[in-house]
Amino acid sequence: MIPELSHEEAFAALEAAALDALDAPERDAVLAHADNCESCRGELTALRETAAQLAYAASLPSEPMPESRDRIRSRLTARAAADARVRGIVVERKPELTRRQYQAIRARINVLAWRRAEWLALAASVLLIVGVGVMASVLRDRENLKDALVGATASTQRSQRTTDSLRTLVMSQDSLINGITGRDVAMVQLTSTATRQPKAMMFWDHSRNGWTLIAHNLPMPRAGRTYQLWLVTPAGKISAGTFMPDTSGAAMVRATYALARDSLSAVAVTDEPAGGMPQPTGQMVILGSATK
Amino acid sequence: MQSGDERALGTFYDRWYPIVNGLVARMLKSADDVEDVVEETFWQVWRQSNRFAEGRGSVQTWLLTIARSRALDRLRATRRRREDSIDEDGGENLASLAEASFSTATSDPSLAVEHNERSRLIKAALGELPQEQREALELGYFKGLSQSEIAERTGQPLGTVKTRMRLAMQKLRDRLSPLREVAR
Repeated sequence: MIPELSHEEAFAALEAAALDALDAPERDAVLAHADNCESCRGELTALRETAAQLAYAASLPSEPMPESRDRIRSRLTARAAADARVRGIVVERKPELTRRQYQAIRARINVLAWRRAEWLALAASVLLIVGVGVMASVLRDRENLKDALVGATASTQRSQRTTDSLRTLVMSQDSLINGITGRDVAMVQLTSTATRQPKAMMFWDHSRNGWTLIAHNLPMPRAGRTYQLWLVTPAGKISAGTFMPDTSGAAMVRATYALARDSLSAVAVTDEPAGGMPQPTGQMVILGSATK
Repeated sequence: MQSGDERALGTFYDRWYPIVNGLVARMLKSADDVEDVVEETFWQVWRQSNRFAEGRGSVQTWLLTIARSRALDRLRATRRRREDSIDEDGGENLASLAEASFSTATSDPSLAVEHNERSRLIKAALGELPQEQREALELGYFKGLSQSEIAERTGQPLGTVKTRMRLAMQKLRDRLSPLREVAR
């Protein structure tokens, strides 16, 4: 029998489920909950997309191993063709010609080919004379064109890389702007009584479960320590990620977490060991109460 | 492919072989195992192509999930057979991968450019994670260890491992969201 999990318990295990890193009983319980919970199902799909991207962190073999690649390809297509035959699948291909149709077409091609050959012989004589003169010039141009082609190819690849990077950047910026200016965004202000007055604002985009914290005047944590962001609810404190400020003390943290609209009590940042903790253990740095 | 045309499988294979082969080769030691698992991955794709539902994720995710599952099956079977210690797995970790150059096993230049750019962005995102979180991902994704196995291996409390994995995935998801759109 599969144990039943609460929404909060299942939601908290979705990242591990996407990585297939849960022990079997917990995995079955999480997947059973996700089957009947639309928000968990959507979240799990998105997290699996993220997990799949990790495959690109594996360097491909420096040798392309064409023999292995071609061997697998041949075996696969042969197996697939045999499988299609066994299953009685008929693939639509162009119909084959009858022998008579084939011979008629061949005869017509031969007649046209002879006529064309006569004209070609005449044209070839003229071209031979002109061609010798042109050839020297063409050879020079060919070298120039090769150089230009190499340069153009490199330039195209550079442009493509730049375009891809810019597209990624623009999409990221658009997502950020929507996360703090959308119609359905709530804001929590976090303040401190310390001398240097760290301050922060948390934007909560209800419609996309998006959280964006923008902080200023944060001192750099000690070596081996980090800041950790918490969503405080009556049921407990939920980690929304660890982060470090830049040299000016500014930081921006983005997270995704589904939370009922009325269940946020406060937002807090604490000082924790590097890597983060399951529950807050360190000193509170800033805190903001959620106004309802 | 759903219509049973084996040439479509050939085209699909040419498009995805480099990344599938790269992932499987990263997870398994034996070249024979890699070849077997790559073939079985594409064979499963052929046999189950009618089960793919676009609304439930991208082709890339579907394919790479199959490849990783088949590789994990082989990895676990090998461990059981040899009573192999995971400490002997060796190989790269995500930290070194984050700095490694990505060479492409494809002759298609546009595909190579796309793979390189995608790889660069993912390694940059991984490079921004704290080492502890990167290690949790490495052990979970490439070595196929569960969270409790990771806790046992690293000597960390299970709760700490869960938090690290969760935070790492949340950061990666945020950083890689533009790539997910492109992958569709």
